Amino acid sequence: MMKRVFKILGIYILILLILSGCWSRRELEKLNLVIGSGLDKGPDNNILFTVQIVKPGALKAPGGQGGGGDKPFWNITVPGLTAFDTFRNTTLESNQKVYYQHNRVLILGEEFARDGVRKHLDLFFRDHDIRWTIRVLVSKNKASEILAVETETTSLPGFFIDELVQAQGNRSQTPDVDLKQILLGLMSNGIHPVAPIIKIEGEGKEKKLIISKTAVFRDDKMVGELNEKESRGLLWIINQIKSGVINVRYPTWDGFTTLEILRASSQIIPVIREGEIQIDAKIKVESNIGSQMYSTDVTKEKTWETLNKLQIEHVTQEAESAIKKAKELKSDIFGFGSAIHREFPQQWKEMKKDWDELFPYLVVNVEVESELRESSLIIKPIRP
Amino acid sequence: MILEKGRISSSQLILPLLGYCLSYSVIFMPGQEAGHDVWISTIAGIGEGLFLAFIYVSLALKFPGKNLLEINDYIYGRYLGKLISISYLWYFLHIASLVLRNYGDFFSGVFLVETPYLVFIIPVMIACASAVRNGIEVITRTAIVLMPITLFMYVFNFFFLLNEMDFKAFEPFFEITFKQFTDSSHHVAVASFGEAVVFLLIFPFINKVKQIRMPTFLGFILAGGVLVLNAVQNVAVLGAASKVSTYATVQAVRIINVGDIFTRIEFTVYVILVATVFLKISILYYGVCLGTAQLLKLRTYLPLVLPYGIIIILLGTFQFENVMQIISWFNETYPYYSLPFQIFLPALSLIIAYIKNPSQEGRAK
Repeated sequence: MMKRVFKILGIYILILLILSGCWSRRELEKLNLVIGSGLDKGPDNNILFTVQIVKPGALKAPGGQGGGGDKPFWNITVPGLTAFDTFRNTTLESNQKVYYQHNRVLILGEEFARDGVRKHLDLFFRDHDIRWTIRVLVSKNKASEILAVETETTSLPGFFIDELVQAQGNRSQTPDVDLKQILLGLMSNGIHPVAPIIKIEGEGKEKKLIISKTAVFRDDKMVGELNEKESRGLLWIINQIKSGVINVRYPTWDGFTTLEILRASSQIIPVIREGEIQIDAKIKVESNIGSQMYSTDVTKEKTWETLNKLQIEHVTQEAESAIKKAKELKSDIFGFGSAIHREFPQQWKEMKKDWDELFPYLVVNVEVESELRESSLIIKPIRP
Repeated sequence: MILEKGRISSSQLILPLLGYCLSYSVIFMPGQEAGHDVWISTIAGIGEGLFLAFIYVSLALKFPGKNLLEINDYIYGRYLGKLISISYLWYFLHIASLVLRNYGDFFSGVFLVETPYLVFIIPVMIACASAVRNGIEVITRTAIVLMPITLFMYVFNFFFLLNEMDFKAFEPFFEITFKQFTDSSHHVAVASFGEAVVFLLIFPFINKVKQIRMPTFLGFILAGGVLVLNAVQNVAVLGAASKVSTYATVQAVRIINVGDIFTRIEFTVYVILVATVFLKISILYYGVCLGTAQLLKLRTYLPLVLPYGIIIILLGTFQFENVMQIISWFNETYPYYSLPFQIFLPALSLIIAYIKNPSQEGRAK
């Protein structure tokens, strides 16, 4: 009997020992949670790493009192030779080892990006604390300055930037890129990475963050940028258009008609024509009439068809301008190379080594199919 | 001399076999070196696995009620047979220690770096030792409880990753060279299916010995199906990155984000890992204890459980210096090291058995 009691007691003590907590357990208030990070080129061949740490005490409840004008975040910028070096150098200023699991964005300073990102991003792919789902941006200003801008609605810049990138889906004029896409771009000859560009506008108290344009990489170095029109063109081709507006000008009237993109899809099809490989980029777009500035009856078939034609023209132009710019930069950001690899693996073997040189001579045929769905809540023009 | 009184039914065999075959695939994606063609090599690996299953089952059916050691004694004579039996026991002990080492490294090496390795190892070994002491019936029943959970989590992960999958990642088909293809499919076969040779020690405990064929093949095919599912999932989600990831499945599952609610759910992989590793080590551990007791003509294998447990822990801890060494050993040496135990000796036994008494299936004494 006693023996049995001891046995059970022993098991309970063992369970207590094991279940009472993890080995390297850390309480929430002892964690320095990172929500945003940035990499910059340092002064003497090193890099500067900025982390944004949440100060939970200074976070205001919405509408409530408190905080006392204190910033709810704390930015640390530290130098280091390698990325991992800087990771650990954060403890130069931080009282705790910083915790990266909740990091949302990684901002690469433009100088840093132009210098080549592979050697330093290696850590971000290797480290288990970093998730491959964090968003990547390139900044015109220093990344440390971007993270220091005080933002509205969300008082944490890291979260704000993350949401700002997501909100771009409403315009579809900048791509939404995560670390996994950058990794795939770095691992392939047939597609190069892109990233949205963020910059500061205004001075002093009036500083605000703006996302526009797209950074283009060749292999791991940033080589140029696409403007908004070209960025939209890129998104048409790589099937990343979510929503957005198209402004077209009806030839005989003064003013614009705005079309709202409902859905879009695209396909990249490599074909062999006249002995050479060409790309057919097929884009399908559906839109509604969002608004118009002049008074015309859009329900008339002729108007309808003209608008449709204008939309096709507009999309084709955007896509072609993106291709033209990418060819100038010698960077295949669309994944045409990967598509050729999938379709014609034999030919690709010979092409892949100097694809960057061959890409400018690639013939790309853009075909757009367009449909106008409806005129929303008004069918006749508003006029007396 | 009866070492094990427990009996399991033939249909109960499927689940422990399934768990046993799967345990590596969670940690390393076997055949990973084939890149985006890994699913083809996995299917070819299943083919090789089924061939192995055919050898093992035929051998067991040729000698119903006899286990591996008795078969060795019968075929190779008393002395050579004993020698082969001892090398088999060493092989089982070695795989058990490797599985344990991988399991410990997975947690202590990458994900919970500050926790000592032994903290992960010892609880699992205590659980395994307890299962081994309780015999084959208990091991089988734990499999019946654990494997449905494991399978559920596999399917759960697969469905939650569907919106992240890009099936273009598989094209162009068959881009690997023939050498890479045979290497990677052989790798799948040895890492997942060939190690099931230990079941030759367990087949005699099945109540209807004649009916082992179906459950064995079914267990292999089911395990193969899960492996293909896993390979497809990893390649479709990670693309080229699946080839460079140490733990591809974890990396893929970490990407899951369904409505910001189902996110950070890589614990499912850990659950799968713990369940399958427990099963695999238990079965190997049990095989070693039972085999040794039989070899030494002991009345019971219970006194061997503790020393063997310590040996497995020590062997696992000290045989490699680091994970890189294990990975290169697994890719370069292991496929050849396993060949005699998994293929040559069983096949030779089968051939000799047919020569010794052809056409008398089930009458050898």
